Amino acid sequence: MNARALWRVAWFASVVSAATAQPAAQREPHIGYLYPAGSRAGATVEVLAGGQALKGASGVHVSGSGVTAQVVRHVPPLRPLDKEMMDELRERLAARWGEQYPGMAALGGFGTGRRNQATKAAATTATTSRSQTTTDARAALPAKGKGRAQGLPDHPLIHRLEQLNPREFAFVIRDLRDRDKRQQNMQIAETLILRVTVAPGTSPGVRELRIVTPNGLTNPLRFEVGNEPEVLEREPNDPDWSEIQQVTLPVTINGQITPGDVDRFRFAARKGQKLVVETHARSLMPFLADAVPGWFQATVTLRDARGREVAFADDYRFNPDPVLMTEIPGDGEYRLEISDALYRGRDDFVYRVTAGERPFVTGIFPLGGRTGSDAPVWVGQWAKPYEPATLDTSPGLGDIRETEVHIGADVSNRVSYAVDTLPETFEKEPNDNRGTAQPVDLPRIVNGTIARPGDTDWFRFRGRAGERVVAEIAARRLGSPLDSLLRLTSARGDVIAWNDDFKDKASDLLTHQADSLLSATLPADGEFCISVGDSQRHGGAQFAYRLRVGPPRPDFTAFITPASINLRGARSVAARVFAVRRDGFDGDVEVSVPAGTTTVSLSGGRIPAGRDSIRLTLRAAGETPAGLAPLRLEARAQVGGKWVTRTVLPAEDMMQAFAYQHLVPAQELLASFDIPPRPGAAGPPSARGILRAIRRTPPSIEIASAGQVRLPVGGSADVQLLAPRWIAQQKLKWELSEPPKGVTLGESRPTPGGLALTLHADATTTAGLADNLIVEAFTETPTSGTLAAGPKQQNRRVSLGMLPAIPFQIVNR
Amino acid sequence: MDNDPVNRELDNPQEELTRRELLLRGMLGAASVVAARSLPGTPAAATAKPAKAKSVIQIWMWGGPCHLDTFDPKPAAGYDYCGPLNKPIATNVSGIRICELLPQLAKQADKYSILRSMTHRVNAHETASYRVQTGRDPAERIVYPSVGAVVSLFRGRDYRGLVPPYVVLTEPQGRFSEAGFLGSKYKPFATGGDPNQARFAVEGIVTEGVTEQRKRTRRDLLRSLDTLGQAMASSPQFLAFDRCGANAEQIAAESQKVFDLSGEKPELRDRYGRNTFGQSCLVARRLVENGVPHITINYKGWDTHKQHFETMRRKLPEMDQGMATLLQDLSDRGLLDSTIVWWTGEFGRTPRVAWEAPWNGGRGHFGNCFCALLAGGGFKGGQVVGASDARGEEVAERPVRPEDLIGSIYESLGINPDAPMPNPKGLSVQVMPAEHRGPGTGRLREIMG
Repeated sequence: MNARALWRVAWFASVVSAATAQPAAQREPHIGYLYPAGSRAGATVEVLAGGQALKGASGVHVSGSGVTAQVVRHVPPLRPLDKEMMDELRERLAARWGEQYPGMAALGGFGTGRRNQATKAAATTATTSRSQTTTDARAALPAKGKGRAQGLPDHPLIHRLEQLNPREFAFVIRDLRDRDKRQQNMQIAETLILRVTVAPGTSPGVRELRIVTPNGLTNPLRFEVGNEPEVLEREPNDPDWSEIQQVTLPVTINGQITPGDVDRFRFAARKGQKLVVETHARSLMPFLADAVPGWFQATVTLRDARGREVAFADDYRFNPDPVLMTEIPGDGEYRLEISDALYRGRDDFVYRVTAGERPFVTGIFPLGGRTGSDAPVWVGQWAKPYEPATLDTSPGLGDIRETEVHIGADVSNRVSYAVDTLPETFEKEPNDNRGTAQPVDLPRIVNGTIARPGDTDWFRFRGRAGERVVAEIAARRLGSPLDSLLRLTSARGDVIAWNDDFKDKASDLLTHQADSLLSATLPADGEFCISVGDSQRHGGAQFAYRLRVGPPRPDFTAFITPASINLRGARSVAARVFAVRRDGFDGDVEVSVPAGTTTVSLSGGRIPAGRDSIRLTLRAAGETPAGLAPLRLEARAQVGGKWVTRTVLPAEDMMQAFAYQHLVPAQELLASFDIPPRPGAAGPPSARGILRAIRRTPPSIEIASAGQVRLPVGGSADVQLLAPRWIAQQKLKWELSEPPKGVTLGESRPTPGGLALTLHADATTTAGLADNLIVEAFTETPTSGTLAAGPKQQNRRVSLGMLPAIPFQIVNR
Repeated sequence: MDNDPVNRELDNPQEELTRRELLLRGMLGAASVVAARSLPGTPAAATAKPAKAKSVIQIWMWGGPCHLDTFDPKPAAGYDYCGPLNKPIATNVSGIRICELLPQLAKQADKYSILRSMTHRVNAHETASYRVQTGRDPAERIVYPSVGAVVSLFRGRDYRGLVPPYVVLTEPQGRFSEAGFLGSKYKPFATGGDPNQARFAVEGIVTEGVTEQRKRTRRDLLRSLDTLGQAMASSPQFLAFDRCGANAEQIAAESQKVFDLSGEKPELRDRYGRNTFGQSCLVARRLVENGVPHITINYKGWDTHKQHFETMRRKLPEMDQGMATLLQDLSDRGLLDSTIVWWTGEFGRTPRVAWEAPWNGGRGHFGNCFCALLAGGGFKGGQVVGASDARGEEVAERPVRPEDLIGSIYESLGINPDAPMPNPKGLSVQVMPAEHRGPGTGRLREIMG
């Protein structure tokens, strides 16, 4: 097949794919959890990926090195099941698995019916030989379609219930447990069983995993390569069960919390052992849109053999993931309990808990170093003295970096530090008041510590009238518990500016970004003071900070969401690009594809001055072969008269608790090019005409005139589209996607070169507003039936994709 | 000192007594509410405009119904705003179109007016419910009573019925104290149970599985065990207690008839809809017939964050049937002119549909612009008040705040906006805030006859 033919097939495939369901956004593949969300090097594990629109998944992409994965099976939701079905399932499961799984009879949600007696009998029979039991159980059940009141749903695991492997069995049991308590969450209702292999010798750390589906690539989710032996929780592990799962330290436990669930594990420990229990839960899935609070808030409790609480943790400083650090009080057996703080539970409440005598870094000082310098630091660990270490400050690796401590084969938690080009100095006590303020030359990074509760560090510098000075604290963003409070005063103590917290869109993962930033124009020549304290008047050796003082350093960081861009044929797709502006930078930012990139084209890349984000469109350029490819975008801006270029960083725009949006950085920006639909997929009959036409001639629709459309307040403007004649003759519906308020799209009309779209701006629009308009084309076929025709009515609408973004500006008439 | 425990309680409204406590005291609750009508401490009827309405039926769309998918359709806004519900239908009033899933209400549009410019800009359930139910700012120092409690306070004085003056069908909200500073006696009587069941088990009045004979036997047993009461039979406190108990028994016995739907024609019950909401509407009509001043139907299920349109297809026909039949039935019986039917939720829903996971076609909370519906009680029908913008995202014309709507309802009921309301702190508190009492406020003059 030549490239042209491949191109046409790809286009057809994309549209057929689009026609199989209703709005494009609903077809976007999505994953909501991985369980287990990690593995040790040298192991192969089966991982459940819960999500939606995953049917036909064909591959897995994992970032970094050493981890590979394949799709084993797609498992559609088991719901809905009525009581009869569930009873029947239990009978069959008990017949096959009753011996190995004593908790079978107590599975919640099965009710108590006449079949329970049969189940008990079946479970008893299961103590004989496996084959005998299976045969008996099958014989006891009516054949499919013969005498079953409802019949079990058409489901791949149910078809082969007696042949499940242990992992599949665990999946089924998990799905059946406490069904009456569990929410139905469509976004995680489908499951993929993946086989993930972590090669021997793979470095521990965080990877990101995405699934390749017929509709494109899913969002990334975190998958961790651990350093300890790993186990999966085994239900039941509730208090009523004497057989609480036994583990041996050190260990990483993987589990899922269902509603009301408390997972318990027992282990032997010796007096004096310094136990660290580090939980990863919220860090695996930072934000849940449809839960309050918007993440799995794990708690860990350590109990002795008599059930008395030895230690408890529900967070670590400002981090919602708890870390429990305790010295074991005596030889014996202990129990570790994990639950949600509110006893909520869902399939995406996944945790990894690592327990053992492991190094745990509580802080470093200083919190960074100058670029290219030797940067000695003191590393503080729990229950150990400070030890010296050196940071990597070599150029080009980013302003915020991470490090860890290695002790033998053990690897500590990762801690952040900063690298900057400015000269650095250390705080010198006494500097607790204005009178003893430490002199500093600007610009400067000062590394200090609020060493005790109530401590305030003062610094003084000379400045000139009209000079702009910026002071910024980096502490919380580097893991310090300091909740800084920053003041700029005159030499007499008059407060010129102060700040407690500022919003840093680039640090959305922090639940409480508490670092301070102030900017002020000095009122006169002379000496000025800056004070740093803790706004809650806390302090201690871990309350380290880096204070930057000096003239503004205007700059920006650019992010793009989503981190997976699914490009389908010639259709454009929308993505949002954010500019996180710093130190007063307020100019235009131009986002573009780097020179030499031939695979992708971009439209509407200008983030206008004053705007923090814009939606642009991306489109496959040329005849790009199907598959995945890393995508690189650049953001350029004139800063201080010079052009600066920044790489656009990938991120996911995640919602927390129905309300708040957060940028969550991703490791890679990936583009997926035209993944063929699964065999047999077909569009609705009503769309056949369009589909046939598209098959004959892949349409190419372009905006005729480049540049910005000028749209008068209360007026209209036309946009000329170059399109095949047959497209212009179709009764297509053109709609604006997420338009700004007051801007609407009128009727389309054929023109000699294609067609024209008319844009309207109502009187409420404001001159000067600049943005992009993104137009999406649909076919809609007449519906039949009653007004309340039901869901089938929704399938009559087929998206033909988006046009390249149309930049516009509102102007006065 | 007033030795009557009921009077003492009325004089000390800060002594909170929950409805459950009242019921646990052997139906004292219902009796005390009835007794409250003629007791000192309730405000005198301040000078007010003549009442047009006698009763209110509030249909509380619990969770916040979508304005675009009910009474303010925006078919031109596009699929991302309308989803599949983009074919509004004409009503029996020229120029008014409503959602295609409300064909029965479309035939009743001459009986109601639509307020399409409701706004309070609050997106949290609790706060928004408080705004819409009280017309007050949550930031104020005291907790205000809901409309039902205020109506109970003022209209309850002249009410002589046996059923409490403020009835909730069937489940109380619990999102805020409906009675506010008025105290527990002005809390609604929530029926519990389900009127769509063969026997409507009204809490404290109709007990499932317990016959009248068995109830009598139980009461006799209770009295025989009350040795203290027998020994102190002349005690004023015990006498008052016994009097309340006897009242309660009488109320329970006679109230059963009000809540008993078995006497209604099956055809009419079918027209209302054989579901909890439809039969609640029918019970509401019966309560109005019995003179109950304020009835709230708490209609759950409108907080449609996920798969909104599936819910609309299931629930809107149910709402359409029950509400349209209620309007027609009230009209047929000559009750609509004296009964205000008020439909709203705490807010609307985000006009733009969230198609992505996890919402999969859902709508969020939206207090910037939403709609309400008013019928009967002297309000004109067949009108539209205010307008939203092209996508239902902002008020375009004539903003209507909750206090505008509530003030209009009070006026129609003849409740003086200047009337003082008793409160435990002895503050000078009137029915309406000062800025909403006089002419030129946002009252709905357009539809007030």
